[in-house]
Amino acid sequence: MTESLPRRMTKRWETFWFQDVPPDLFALLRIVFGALGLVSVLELTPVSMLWAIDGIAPVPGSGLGVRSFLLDHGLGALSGWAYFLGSVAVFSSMTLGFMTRFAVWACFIANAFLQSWNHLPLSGANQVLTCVLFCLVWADCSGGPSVDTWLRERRGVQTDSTAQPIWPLRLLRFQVCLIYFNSGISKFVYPVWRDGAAVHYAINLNIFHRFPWSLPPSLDWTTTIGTYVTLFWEITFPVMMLNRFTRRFALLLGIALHVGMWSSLELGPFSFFMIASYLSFLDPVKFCERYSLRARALLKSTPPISLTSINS
Amino acid sequence: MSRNRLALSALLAWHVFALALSDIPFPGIDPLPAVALSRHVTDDPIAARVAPVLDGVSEQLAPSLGSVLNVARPVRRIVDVYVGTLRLGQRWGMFGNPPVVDQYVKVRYYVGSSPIPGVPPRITWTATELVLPAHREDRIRALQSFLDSSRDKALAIALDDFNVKLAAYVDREGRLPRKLPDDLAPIGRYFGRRFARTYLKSNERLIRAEVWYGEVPNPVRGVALDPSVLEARLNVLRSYYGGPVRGPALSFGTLVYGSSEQEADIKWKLAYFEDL
Repeated sequence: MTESLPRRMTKRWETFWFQDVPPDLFALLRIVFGALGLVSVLELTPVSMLWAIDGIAPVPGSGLGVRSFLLDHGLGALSGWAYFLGSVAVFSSMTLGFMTRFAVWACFIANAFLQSWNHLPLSGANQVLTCVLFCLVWADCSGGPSVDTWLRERRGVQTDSTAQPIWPLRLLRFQVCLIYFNSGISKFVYPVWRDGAAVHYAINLNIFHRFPWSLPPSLDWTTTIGTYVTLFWEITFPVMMLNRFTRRFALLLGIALHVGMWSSLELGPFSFFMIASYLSFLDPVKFCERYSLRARALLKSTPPISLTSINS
Repeated sequence: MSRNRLALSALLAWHVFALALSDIPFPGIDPLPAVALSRHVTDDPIAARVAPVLDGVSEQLAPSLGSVLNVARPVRRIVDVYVGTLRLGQRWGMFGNPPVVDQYVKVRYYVGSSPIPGVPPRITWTATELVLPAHREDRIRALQSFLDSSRDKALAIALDDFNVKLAAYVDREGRLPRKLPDDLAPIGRYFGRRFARTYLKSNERLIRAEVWYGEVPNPVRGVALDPSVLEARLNVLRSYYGGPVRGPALSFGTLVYGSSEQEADIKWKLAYFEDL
């Protein structure tokens, strides 16, 4: 007898959000975003300029008054250093997988609060990192290689990480789709993107351009194509994620566009963050099978997982 | 489905819905431009074909989307609170409306000294320092520029914040009050402190710091910049690359917001000043 429609839908929902997957991809995301977070913290230097309350930061006086209080008590520079060093410590801890649960939460809080502390030097990279960390805090990212795993092994504790529900990874994929869709829509409302001139102006901006010379007018058609390809790719990115072939195409085009942006514009770590976020679209089972030394043992201990359901 | 999963499902559904709704730019809530047609499309054969199609889509969609969004408006406000609390605000408009000008910021320092303690110091010399962009424009940007990009970003955002607030400070006749938004104050204060620490003698002190904003329009697509104009600008910029440029004992006199000066094709405007 066939199952009723609501039952099938419930089952599909459960599979979509709660299917158990190997934890290795979460560990990889932890390492990559921990390292990138560390780079982005170190990029915000000198500390006296970008972390100290009396540096290039909004004049205190709004919000909860924490910054005003610290400045009034002569702690403007000290608190900036404490925040900076604390951020370096927690991102290092996250990368190494030491006290992982705490570290990932601490990284999320430190990074999110930075918006209130000093939003001036923050780029889209900071926003991407906050969104990624929000997804990772719900998963156990302590899988190897990590200090936590090494310590567990030393203590003789069973080190095979348990399977994880897939929903934090789903949220992360959804978040990446939203980033591009929102970016595409925000661009579409401006005439400069519809008339194909946006990339021409962007690569000529003196604050961002990497090379001290501009493109000759005879090659400006390339910037027009670049404008329209970017617009099309960003708006259709979520739709392209629904099919295996278009997904591969969209991700490869994304890597090409981000590398192109990185080579022509100085955008800080933004391009690296976006390319790293594509790791979330890897199949966690295939990743485990191919790259994890513990794959065989883990797959034996967990029921087989339908790849089509994971990638749907 | 277990109770835990049911509760988590509700949370996930709400979260996804909230993120998606906060993702859509709302007229009246998000800064959106009025629907406008593309410009300069005839100078590029590709744009001449594509832009009218995209303009057509934009014109068709805007009214119908507007009425749909009006229905969702109350929910959007709740969603904003949720998303804002989690710091997951979805604003990804990078280069949405890229500036069509090159931007510069310089800080001018007025140094005074007083021979007799207690007597107000008089201006003995001035210096001007280019602070935006942090890198040299006549060289390829590499690793140092990666580190400097945060400083450039901070200054550019401070300028944006200042300009947004400035509009609210202007009265109906377009005049500015004496007090200006304080968004550029950190630039004058930080670089002023750094300058004083490095260059001032014990009997000297910083009397005033001025933040000047300069811009140069970038050529439109298909038009090359005259090399002699570019060279003249680079010569001006090169004079600043060695650090603060010492000047005579200028009096700032009646310099107020909007006072202007020009170097090559860079038009400078006094954006902020602070008597220290």
